[in-house]
Amino acid sequence: MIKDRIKIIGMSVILAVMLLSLISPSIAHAQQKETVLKVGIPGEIDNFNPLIGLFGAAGYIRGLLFDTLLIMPSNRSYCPWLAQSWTVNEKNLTITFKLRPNLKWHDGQPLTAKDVEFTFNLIINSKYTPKLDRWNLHNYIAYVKAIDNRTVVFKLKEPFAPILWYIGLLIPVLPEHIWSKVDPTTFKNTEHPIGSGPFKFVKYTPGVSVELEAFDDYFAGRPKIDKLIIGLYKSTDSVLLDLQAGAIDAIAGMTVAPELVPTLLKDPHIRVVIRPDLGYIRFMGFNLDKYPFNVREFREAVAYAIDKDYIVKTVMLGYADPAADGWVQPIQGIWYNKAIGYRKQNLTKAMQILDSIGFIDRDGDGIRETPNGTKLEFTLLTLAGRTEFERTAEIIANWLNQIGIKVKVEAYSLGTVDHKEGVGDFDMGLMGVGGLTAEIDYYLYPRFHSSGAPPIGKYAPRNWFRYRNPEVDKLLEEQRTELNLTKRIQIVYKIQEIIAHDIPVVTLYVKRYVTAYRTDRFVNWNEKEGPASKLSLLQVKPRGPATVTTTKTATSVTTSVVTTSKVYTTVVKTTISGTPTTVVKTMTSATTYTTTVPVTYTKKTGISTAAAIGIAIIIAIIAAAIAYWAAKRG
Amino acid sequence: MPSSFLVRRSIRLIITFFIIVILDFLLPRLMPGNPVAILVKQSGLPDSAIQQLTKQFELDKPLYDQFIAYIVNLFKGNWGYSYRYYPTPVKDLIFQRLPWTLLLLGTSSITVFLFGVFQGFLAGWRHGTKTDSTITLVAVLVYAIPYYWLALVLQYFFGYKLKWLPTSQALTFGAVYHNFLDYALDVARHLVLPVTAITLTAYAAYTLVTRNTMIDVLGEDFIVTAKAKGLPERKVMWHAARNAMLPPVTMLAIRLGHMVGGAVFTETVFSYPGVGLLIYESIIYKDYPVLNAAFFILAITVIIANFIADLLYAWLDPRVRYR
Amino acid sequence: MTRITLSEERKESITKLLHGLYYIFIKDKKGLLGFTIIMGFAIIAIFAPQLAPYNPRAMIGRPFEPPSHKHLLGTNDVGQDILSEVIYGTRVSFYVGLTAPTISTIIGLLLGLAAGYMGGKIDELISGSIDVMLAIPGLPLIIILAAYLGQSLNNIILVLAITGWVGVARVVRSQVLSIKERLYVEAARAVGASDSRIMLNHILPNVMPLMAAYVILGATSAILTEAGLSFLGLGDPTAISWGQILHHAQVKHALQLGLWLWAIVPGLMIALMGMGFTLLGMSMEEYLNPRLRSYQAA
Repeated sequence: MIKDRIKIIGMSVILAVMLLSLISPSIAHAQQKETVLKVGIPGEIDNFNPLIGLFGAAGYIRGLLFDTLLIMPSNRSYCPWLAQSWTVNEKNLTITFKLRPNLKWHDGQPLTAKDVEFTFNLIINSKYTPKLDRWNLHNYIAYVKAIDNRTVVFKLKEPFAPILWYIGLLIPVLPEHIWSKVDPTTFKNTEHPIGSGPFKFVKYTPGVSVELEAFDDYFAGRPKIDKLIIGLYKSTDSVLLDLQAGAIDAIAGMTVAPELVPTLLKDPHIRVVIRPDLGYIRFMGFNLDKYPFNVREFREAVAYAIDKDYIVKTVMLGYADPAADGWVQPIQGIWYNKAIGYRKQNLTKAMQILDSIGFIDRDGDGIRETPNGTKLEFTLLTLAGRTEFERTAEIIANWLNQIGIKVKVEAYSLGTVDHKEGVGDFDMGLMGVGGLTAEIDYYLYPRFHSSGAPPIGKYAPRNWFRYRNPEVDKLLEEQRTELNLTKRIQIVYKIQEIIAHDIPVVTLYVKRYVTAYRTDRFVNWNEKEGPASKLSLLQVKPRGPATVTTTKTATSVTTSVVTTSKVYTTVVKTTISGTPTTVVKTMTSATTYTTTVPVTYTKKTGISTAAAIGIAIIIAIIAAAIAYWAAKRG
Repeated sequence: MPSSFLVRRSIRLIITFFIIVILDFLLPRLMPGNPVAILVKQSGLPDSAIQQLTKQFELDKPLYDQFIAYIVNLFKGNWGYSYRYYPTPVKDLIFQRLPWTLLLLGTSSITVFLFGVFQGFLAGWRHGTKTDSTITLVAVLVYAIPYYWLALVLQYFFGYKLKWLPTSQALTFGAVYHNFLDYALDVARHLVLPVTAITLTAYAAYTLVTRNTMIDVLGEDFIVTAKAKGLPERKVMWHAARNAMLPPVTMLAIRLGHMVGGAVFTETVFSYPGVGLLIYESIIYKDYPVLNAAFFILAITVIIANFIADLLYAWLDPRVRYR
Repeated sequence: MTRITLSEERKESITKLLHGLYYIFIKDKKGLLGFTIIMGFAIIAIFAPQLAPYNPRAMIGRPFEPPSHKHLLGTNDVGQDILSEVIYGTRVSFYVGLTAPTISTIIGLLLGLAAGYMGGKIDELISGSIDVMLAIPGLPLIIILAAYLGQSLNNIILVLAITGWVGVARVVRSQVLSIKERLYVEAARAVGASDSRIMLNHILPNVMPLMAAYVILGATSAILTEAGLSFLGLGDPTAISWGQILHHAQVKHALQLGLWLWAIVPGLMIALMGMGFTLLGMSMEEYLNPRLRSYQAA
């Protein structure tokens, strides 16, 4: 019996020690001499091949590893990056880029105009073109030619206004000395990707993290942090939990849920930033090939039943803006037609319109009928499991029921919703898209051009509401070839007017992009461009002098480029949709909105290590007592 | 053991296997929706990329061609490339994730089994006493707690509020380990919460089964005789316990499929980079090759486990009739 | 060879039933407790409109209101009263918890009967399908089916029924096999009773009580699975179920906002109702397998 007792006590002690070692917060971390900045991002890595990559998280890292010819900061104007300057010859349809001097790849090889030529030839004029040219650039670019080490010329086949976006921003320059030896259609590039970006690749641990380090020879100067580790998370919630725990310094590739902003702001070391230039639009599309959705007045009545401000206030807690009716939104700067605005809710007017077109409730059951007697009963299709959509759908259905249109919300998973909308098997569909930063042509053309609207039954990717308007078609084609910016803007204005009048979709709101970062370990973040953006990571530096190691001074920076902020403010005059700086609204801090969030705070109850040890000991004692009792009884 | 039983059982096993292979191919493809369209729209590619990628993934071919390719690949032990993680071979993808899931499920299987069976023994042995009813009642209550709910509460308290344990991931990323112990400790810390959550919600099934078997066994003649003979209580208990082991052991095999379901929830709540989450995401995004591979591996594991459990049962318990 | 008359058998089964009811609801404390819990929930479900302070769909408060006199559990992300939601959720839980296992038990019963009694090819076919169903991982299959059928409550019940029959069929099959060997079936056959008659009069009454236990025990897992699907975002967004309340509490970070009750209460409700059903089911099972009864303990 005594032996047993000793055994039990011994085991309990071991158990207690194990428990303690597990809950002790101080895990043996190496005292790192180098400054390590950690960014958390929800998502995964598919590959580091910028030509075929699809994932957003991988795209963020690809953006740090590789550089493009130009860059577009939050002021939405094209700015020089790898290219020092560029000139457009409208008559000859050529664009000439002049690269910065002494550009280098991560492996020390020089980056020249030849690399640019190689990269674009790979896409538009190689055996891989059918697989790589996802943007159909070979339809617009005749050839790409390096004139000398620093000059490259693009010759266009026809005037194509958005071209700068594709060649300047979308496709990064790839090293010829590596990519000429691989099959770019199946090249994963995860072993040791070589780019020319501010950070070099160090290590990739699948599902866990990607480690990068500062590139000493970067043209804009070596980043002030030595190491950048990007943690890959499975959910946005765990990213935020780790930000609050201090395990990461910034977040990327996600927007903070509105209700969490006050919780984040409780931490004095966390700053919350609203990006004025980013956002997602939410909208409701009608199946325009179906009666009565092909009746404009009916759609107008539905539009009048919707209170965008209310949805913004309740579902988004104010972290959104009511969307303009013409599809183009204020955050898109010069492209937004200020005359458009948005429709306010007016239920009386909605009912009047329905009455006027003969949609009247004849049998008194609260549901209107069409003139031929069918009841106005429809479904509202939306994404399941996405509270934002589900709640919005619920609210809209409520309003429509009030004006005598019976609406049932149907939620399916992503694939099913996409399929049903695509083939036209729906009445109304609630959807959301990002891409407000994309070139305006890409934002408008595939959505509203009739070429994207095959008959019902055939899959329509983006114009699934099947909007066909010859006038809009013509305008969409015109703005593509209009190289004069002012004229092009006028065409885009006109398109918005028509869309706002036709109401093929009811735009609902533009979700604000909310991001956050910690200030306790690093300073000098760039809030305007986003704390985890490339531009911000170039300038951010460790707080305090203690941990900084000797950094190599940037050697290859031209005189005009001293700090990163200057790099992108040197705007070169251009006529192709180079847009002057117009940011519609500037929202630098989220604090102004927090008043709309009625959230109560719970007191912070951190338990000290001593208390933790105490609790563990108590647990161990109880365990020992139970074990002893059990042994005695047994 | 009659050999005809074994033969018949084996034939059925093979037929089952083939049906599973076919279902495995068909089930994901029966879901509506086009995987390529979702990928293209999510990553902001133009409409024309849909055709390009459809061709690249050979989804433009008729279904029977795809099926033949799938069977051929299967025999080559190759599941092709994942659509989402293109050009990552499915094999790589699964073997990157599998160790984490095995670690998670392995650890929790052990804790669940030990904890559950121990409590069951105790309840069965003290049948009819307060100990029994307390253990049973707690087990029944805990059995009905939604797993992910418990996981969230644990995560919130021990991870977020008390900050004792990490809330997510399998490793502290960016940590520098001096030695293996450092590494093991880090992995263990990340395992504590998910394993605790699984253990608490899954042990009850074992407790209840063990308890019932124990009571059954205690009523058997040989125990009654042993007791009557005046054998020391501890020896009788051991005797009974050994005999009551069988159902919980077989249960371990049968519940393998359940455990994978649990893995989906665990990995979602704790952002654990395992196969469960991969399966879930692959269903949502219709990544057929990954689903085919994952289902195939799972089904084979379950079939083999069940087969072994069957044989084990037949071998250990002579009362089972071979029909 | 004994000849058993119908009336005798009937009398026997009635006494059995009464004895069973006595055991489950009075003698066995577990059964009584389970029954009481279920009854309590049943009352809440029936009188939901009277008990709930508000219409659970009405957005009557501000979003994220903490618990107060007006809203005992606070309000959710769109200002609906959580207490009212929880009360109405009882109905959905009963609906899912009872229909799904009933349907799957009936399917399992029929297939099990057919396999066990007819044997031969039919048995091979059904046993084969049982093997296949067992080998397909349950939750992924449920997710696929739910995605395929669409997210409505009835579809979720259908999914649960489709995937839930296997265990029952397996048990019924083995039960039938053992009953078939028993004397009275052989006796009935000797008298010349037809297959359907034997099934209806001799085998069915013997497996019926077990089936009732299965429905009750299955309720817990049906409620849990519905909640699980809701958690993964595959539930019915228009239904007010505990799973949906929990889903919204999770998605809207109720715990981090300090709105404990929003997250804790529906979870506890699920656990409590599951406990009630399980206790009742266990009691029934124990009655059917007298060795498990506590009052017979040594």
